[in-house]
Amino acid sequence: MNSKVRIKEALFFLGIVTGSMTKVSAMLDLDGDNASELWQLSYPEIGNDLDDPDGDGVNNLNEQIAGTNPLDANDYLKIENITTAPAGVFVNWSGVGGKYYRIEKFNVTTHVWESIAEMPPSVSSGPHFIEITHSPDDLAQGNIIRLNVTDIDQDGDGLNAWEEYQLGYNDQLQFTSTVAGRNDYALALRRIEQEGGAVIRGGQEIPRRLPTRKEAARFLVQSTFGPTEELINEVTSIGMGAWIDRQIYSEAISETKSIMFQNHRSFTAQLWREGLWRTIFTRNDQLRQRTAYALSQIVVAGFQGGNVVGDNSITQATHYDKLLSRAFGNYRDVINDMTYSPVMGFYLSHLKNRKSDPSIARFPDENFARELMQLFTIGLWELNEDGSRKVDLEGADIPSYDNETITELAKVFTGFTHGTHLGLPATGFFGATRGTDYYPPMKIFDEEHEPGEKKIVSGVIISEDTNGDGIVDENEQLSARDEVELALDTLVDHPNTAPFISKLLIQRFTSSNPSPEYVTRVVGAWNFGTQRGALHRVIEAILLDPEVRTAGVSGDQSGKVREPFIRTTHVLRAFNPTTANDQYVPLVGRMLEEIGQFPSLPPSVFNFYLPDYQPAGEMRLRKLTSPELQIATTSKLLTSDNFFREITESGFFGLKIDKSPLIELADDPDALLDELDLKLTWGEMSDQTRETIKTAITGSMPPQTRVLRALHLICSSPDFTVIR
Amino acid sequence: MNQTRRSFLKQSLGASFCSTSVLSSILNLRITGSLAAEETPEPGYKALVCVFLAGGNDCFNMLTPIEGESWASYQLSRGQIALPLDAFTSLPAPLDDGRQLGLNNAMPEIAGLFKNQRLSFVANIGTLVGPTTKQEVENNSAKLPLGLFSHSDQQKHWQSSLPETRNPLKGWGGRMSQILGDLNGSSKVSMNISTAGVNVFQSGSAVTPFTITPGDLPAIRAWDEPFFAPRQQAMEAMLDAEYRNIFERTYSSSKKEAIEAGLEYKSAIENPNLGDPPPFSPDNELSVQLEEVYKAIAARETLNKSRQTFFVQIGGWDSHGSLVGHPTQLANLSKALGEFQNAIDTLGVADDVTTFTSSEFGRTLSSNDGGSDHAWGGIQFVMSGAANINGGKVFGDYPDLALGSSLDLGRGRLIPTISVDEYFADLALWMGVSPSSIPTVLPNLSRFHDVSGGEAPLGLFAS
Repeated sequence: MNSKVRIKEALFFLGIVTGSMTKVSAMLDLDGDNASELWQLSYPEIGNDLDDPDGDGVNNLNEQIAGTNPLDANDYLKIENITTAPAGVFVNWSGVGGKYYRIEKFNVTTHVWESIAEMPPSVSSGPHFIEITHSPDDLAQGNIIRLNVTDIDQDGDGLNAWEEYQLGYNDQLQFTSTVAGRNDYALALRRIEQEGGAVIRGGQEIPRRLPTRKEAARFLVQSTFGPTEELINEVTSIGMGAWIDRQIYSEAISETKSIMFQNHRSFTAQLWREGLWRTIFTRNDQLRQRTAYALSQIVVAGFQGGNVVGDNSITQATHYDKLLSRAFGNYRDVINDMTYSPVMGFYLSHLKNRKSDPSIARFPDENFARELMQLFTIGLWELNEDGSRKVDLEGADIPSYDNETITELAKVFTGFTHGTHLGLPATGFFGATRGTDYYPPMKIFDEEHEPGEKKIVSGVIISEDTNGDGIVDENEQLSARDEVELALDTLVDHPNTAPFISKLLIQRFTSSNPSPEYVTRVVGAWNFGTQRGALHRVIEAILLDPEVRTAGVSGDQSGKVREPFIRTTHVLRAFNPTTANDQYVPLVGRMLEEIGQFPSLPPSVFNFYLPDYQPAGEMRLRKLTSPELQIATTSKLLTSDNFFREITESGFFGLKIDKSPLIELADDPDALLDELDLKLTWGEMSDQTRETIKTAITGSMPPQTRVLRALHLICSSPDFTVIR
Repeated sequence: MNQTRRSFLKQSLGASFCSTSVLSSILNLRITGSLAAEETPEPGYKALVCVFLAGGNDCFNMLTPIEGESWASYQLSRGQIALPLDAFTSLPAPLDDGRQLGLNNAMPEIAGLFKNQRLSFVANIGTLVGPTTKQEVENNSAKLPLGLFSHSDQQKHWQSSLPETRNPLKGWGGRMSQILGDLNGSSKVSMNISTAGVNVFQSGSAVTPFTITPGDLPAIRAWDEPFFAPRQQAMEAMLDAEYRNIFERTYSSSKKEAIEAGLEYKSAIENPNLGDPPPFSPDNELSVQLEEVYKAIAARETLNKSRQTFFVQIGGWDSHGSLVGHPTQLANLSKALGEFQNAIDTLGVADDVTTFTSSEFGRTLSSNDGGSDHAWGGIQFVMSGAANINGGKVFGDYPDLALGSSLDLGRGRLIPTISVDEYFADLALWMGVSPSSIPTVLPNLSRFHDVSGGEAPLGLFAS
């Protein structure tokens, strides 16, 4: 190559690309202004993007992208020199650690900038260079070349390299620290929230950044049954990370079994439902309650009435409380408790499931085995870690099991019977029973447990005939309980389970169509460390993720339609609800009819809606899912509008919201709308909705009317129904 | 048996196994979206009512061989879930091969309709990718419907007739209505009405059924009343606004359609000229849904409809645990259908309304103690006016109920010998879909039947 390239005759200038590298903004940007909080906390007073306070000719926005100091006139991105050598041409500049630099050439034919050389982020600032070893043509006279700087997130954890460099993290690892089990984004968020602020690279101190009231409200909408004034104050004063810790490590764990007996009126099926309703409105372990509710929509056991489960509140409470107690434990324990729960045994008929008797053509009931795989652990199709389906060589989905697997697995769940018979510990499979025998966990007895080999997934053969003599003898035959343990271990450890369940949990909290990167991050939390499936890490990873802490970051498909049940509790909780005789009475029949939901009463084991439901029209064309819209039928869309109007006007069977503070604000429609916006639409009500509602409440009318009208219209609006 | 992976075999002789032709014919529909030039559908009115038995009906205790060897096989195969002889009433005549079937005594109304040649059974029917033999299944060379034996998948396949599609969102009813929709006048109320929520059968790319809750006419309270005006204007403004997010847009447009359709529907149903409906049992879950269907059919002219489809559903058929309640379910099914047919007769449109059952699968012949598990082939039935339907027959081949038969994949899970495509093709042709458009509605049919000459696969209807 001719080293005497006439560089001086090529045009060099600095190009700075705005925005971020990946389609999801990889950045700790909590207020959604497209700037890293670390940057803004480093330079809190600099003001507008287009200003240039140090007068170095580079505005604040470009200094931010380049990582240079907007208050230092000598610090801006510039090429120091260009040198030639036999090997190539070297472009030298003083670079910033964590930034990604490229040399680009302008293609005069396609009118596109093409990258011809790059320098990945380095961990320190200082002299940087790129060597261009392209052909002389690239550097010939008349070519236009530029140095381009952007951010990049190499490990996909939601922090870009510059941010990681500022915090001393590694941009090649999602989990720089192996101690906390939190990915770098969650660590960064907690660090800027911590008391006393934080110290970043170079010893620079940045002030503490707690969430704004709007940010707190939005976070609470995702993580509780509805934000209250107290909760907003709590989150704004300690931060989201610390609030999550309080929720996870609190010892005050709600138990519907004891709660439902407060103000006990009568011992009926309604008793548990009242207990659950009271728990939602009076107990502070909201994140735990949301998690249990989410789990109840995945590992479904319905409490429909007219049978020994549906008519017994203690049975229901005992079952549901297991979800509450395990919500921040391990998913393996959730599956264990649900497997041995007599409620589940009744619902999916493995209670009293008998071993085969081919002579009378009787074989084990397959119901539980099927749903255990299809819905509670591995799902129907092989999955990648990012939640997408694996495909075979022809591009087709790969089933994760077949019907024979179900028949085999069904043999494992045989021999289950009640834990007690007429109140006494069960000593065998058979025995008379009564309602209270549905409280304790089920037991297994060998007399009706199917012996022999069972070939299940992952190549696992339970009670394998290892010496191949055709008989499963005593040494080879596992005990019934050990067989169940091995089956459950195999299923929960299967690589499918983390993405399958993580994606379902994400849909319950924040987002109907999580990006593959988001799913990967949550799966990373699931798979972290030696104890995989730690739900407290998974739930935190779901909430402290860049995709959901920055509103609208996935474009117009961000977020989800909120469940009507949660919208109901939200509006009732938001304004200091009170009850007349300390009664918390949900009218369950009405809720099922008018809004389509009440916990533990889905129409089938497939829950209220399917996780892959795509509404007709634009969403179906773009293959976007919205499970909650499956129950937004023609009739429910209208009956629920009436329902929200009624509960805001007159409360819900004795549970009334306190409208007096709102009435006091009513003479000033803007002040009223500000308060309602914060409490009901987390400060993100669109301008057009606000204008429409303001028009409807402007004019002469009693303040009471103004308030009721505004409440109804907000509950009616897409702004309240959808969280972006 | 192993569920075969969807491996892409080379073209087999005869019917095409290439899935691109399936998709391209559906894409064509999107482009044309309407009646083909050669459509000459009959004038007048037709309605199709789908009664979905969700969970998988244990049909071999509904229609059962009651004499000789076949009765003995039934008893042996079903063991403790076999019913005694006196649980059945003999059908008027034996099958062509001499076997005598009996109908479960719990279904007197169905027996009566059968006797009056207004109802026929179809056996042994299920979802199929193509004609399938036991050998092919056992040596893994058969292509099987995806998610065979899974409720959610098989319900979708029964409603979409796309057994090789992983998550079919659109149903054959939705596709059919896109073709026949031009026969209807203008209306905000869809020609597809459901009392059981959104369902795949009636869904199309841009088609969603109008859903009603029995006993309830959905409407925004006080809509159109003077005092409600400021709110109504605000709500209308919100529904007409443009939204930045697809969920908001979708929710908003659905709600707008719901309001408009609800208003039109309410005024049509409450038209005093319609008179009172005949009696329907208020505590029968199916009757209350069929009552709404009756009302919508009665109001067909106000709703500007020449063609309608209806979807009603009852659950609880998934009898893993016990079959003790099954006769009661059959009784309720029979009673409701009897009431419905009587009501339709009073409107004088008996020959214009066809009711057909669907269920995601039959159940294992063998028991799991008190119940039965998921299987495959089963029995359905169709009812209408005597002049419209070839009633009093059992179409197809009633299977051998001995375990280990040539159709038995184990535990008495029987391979179907009639595919749902053939069943639906008879219904779609009757509704007026032209033979040339049938492949668009039922892309999988060509593997079983050549419809180009206009011949219906089963012959359920009198021509």
